[in-house]
Amino acid sequence: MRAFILRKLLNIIPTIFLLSLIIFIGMELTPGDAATALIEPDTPVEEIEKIRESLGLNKPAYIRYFLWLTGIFVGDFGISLNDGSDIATVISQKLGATLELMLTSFLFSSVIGVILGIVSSLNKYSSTDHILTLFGMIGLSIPSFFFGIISLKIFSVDLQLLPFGGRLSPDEMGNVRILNLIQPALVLALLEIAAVMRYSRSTMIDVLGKDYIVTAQSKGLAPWRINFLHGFRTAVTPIIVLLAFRLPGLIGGSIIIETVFVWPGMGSTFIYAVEGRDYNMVMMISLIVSVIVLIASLLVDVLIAIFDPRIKLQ
Amino acid sequence: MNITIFQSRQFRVFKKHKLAQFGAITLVFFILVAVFADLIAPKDPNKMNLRHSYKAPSSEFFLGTDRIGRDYFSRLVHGTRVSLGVGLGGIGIATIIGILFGGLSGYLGGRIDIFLLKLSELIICFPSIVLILMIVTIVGQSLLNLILIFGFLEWVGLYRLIRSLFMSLKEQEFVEALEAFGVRKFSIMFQHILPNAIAPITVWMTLTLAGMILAEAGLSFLGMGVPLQVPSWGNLLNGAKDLRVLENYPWIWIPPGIVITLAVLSINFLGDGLRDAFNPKS
Repeated sequence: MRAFILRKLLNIIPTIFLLSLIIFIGMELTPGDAATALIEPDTPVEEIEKIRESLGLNKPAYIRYFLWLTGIFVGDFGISLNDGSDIATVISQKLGATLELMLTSFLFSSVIGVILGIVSSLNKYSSTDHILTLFGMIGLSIPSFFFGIISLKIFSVDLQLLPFGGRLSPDEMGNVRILNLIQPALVLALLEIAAVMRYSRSTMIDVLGKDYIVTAQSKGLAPWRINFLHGFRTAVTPIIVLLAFRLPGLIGGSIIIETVFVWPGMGSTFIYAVEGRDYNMVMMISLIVSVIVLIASLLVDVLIAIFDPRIKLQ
Repeated sequence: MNITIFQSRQFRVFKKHKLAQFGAITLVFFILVAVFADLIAPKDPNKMNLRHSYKAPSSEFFLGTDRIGRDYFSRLVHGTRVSLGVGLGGIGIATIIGILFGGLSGYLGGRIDIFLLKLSELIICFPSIVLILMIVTIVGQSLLNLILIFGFLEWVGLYRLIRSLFMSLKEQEFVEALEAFGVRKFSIMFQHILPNAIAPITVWMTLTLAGMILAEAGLSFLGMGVPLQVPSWGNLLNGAKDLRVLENYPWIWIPPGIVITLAVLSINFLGDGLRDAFNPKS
């Protein structure tokens, strides 16, 4: 097992280097560098040159790439082009908010989605199944931000039950903070539930059609034993794989939802950076996100290997 | 030819799929609206009139007006053209790239396969919206850029599909026979193997079109998609970011939201129906 994980790790290293190279080229192609971010608007040209020289910005590209890459490993992510703030600091402040939002909606959508999927599959072609399938389809088709706006209109504008957006700092009282979290997290989750439900349903239906299920039925086992001990146990591997594969979608979804609900996380920071043409910030967040996705896919591989003994570890 | 289509098993399955038919009809309706937008829209979608700011729906303004007094119904009608256009344009490019790369990768194998596979792996490292926004910041925001970005990024799913199909189909006897006859590789790939992949390609195109319309809407809602003055479904919803709109002007955000949902829903229904129709097990 350890060798398997190690080999997978070695596999993703070249990809990470390629990603970093693409991001670096992207930053080279866009205007502005650390010097232009630090100077006052009317600094004389010689002064700018001095700053560029002292920051090492006049060195050849491959040396700068090397310096930039080693910088990243020690936590130096460069500075924002708009206000000169340290990108690593900004990200470390925002990451918690995004993780809080994503984990909450991940838990909600996984549990509810899987349960609804099982209910749907056990009552195949019943009216419950049809209604759930229809709702699942609507969930996949409604734009997340439109759903968010509807929710805001109902719960924040009309009923005034929930705050309009934003996030309270972790020092605030727990039950008050929940009010801010609950709306964006549920909106993000409800859309994910649709995907999880559809997938769980089709996986369960697939498994329940297998021969050994028929054997179990003909032996007269209790239906719940057949469905859960025989059926769900086999279906759980592909479902876990899907849960982990949803990470990119969850990150993408949280970018839009964070903007709708003014949630101060990585997603809204990313959007502000795109709006303000803060190229360094855009590129660094993209790099971090892509590396996170890459590591998550590695975890998926490991999880599959743990749960599915048929997969050989060579 | 037509008679065989109507008698085929696929058509019979499709005919039983009520939701898919609903989807097909709605999609045709939207396409007609997009084509005849100039005839349907009662007013110039871009004509401003500040005296008519945020007018409620009336007989003169069917769906009211927006902040700078433009007729909202006309903008919604023209938005259909822009949003469907972005989706169809993106799908067109992505389909060509996906088939070409998938064919080369699956049939030729070797170095070109490794290169293209690695490229596709790099693209799916990013959540699609992150990569799109990253490229938008580099190349700038325009209608054409958005279509090109969609086309050049969203081919990965089709590429994987075509690659694995070609890998299995090239082992078949008819391919061996064609090779023995000395038929050119290009012709084997795209004249003889490709027709076997029409069904999955159609399903992929339909479902990805739905995704692209959603992506356009999301990007434009954020203000990063189609340039703001161009009417598109997402841009129409952009106005809803204003709290005043949410409190007082429901016609600004409800109609475009419903239209997007309906369009995406019908395309998804159609895609699901096609998948069932093409699936011999159903």
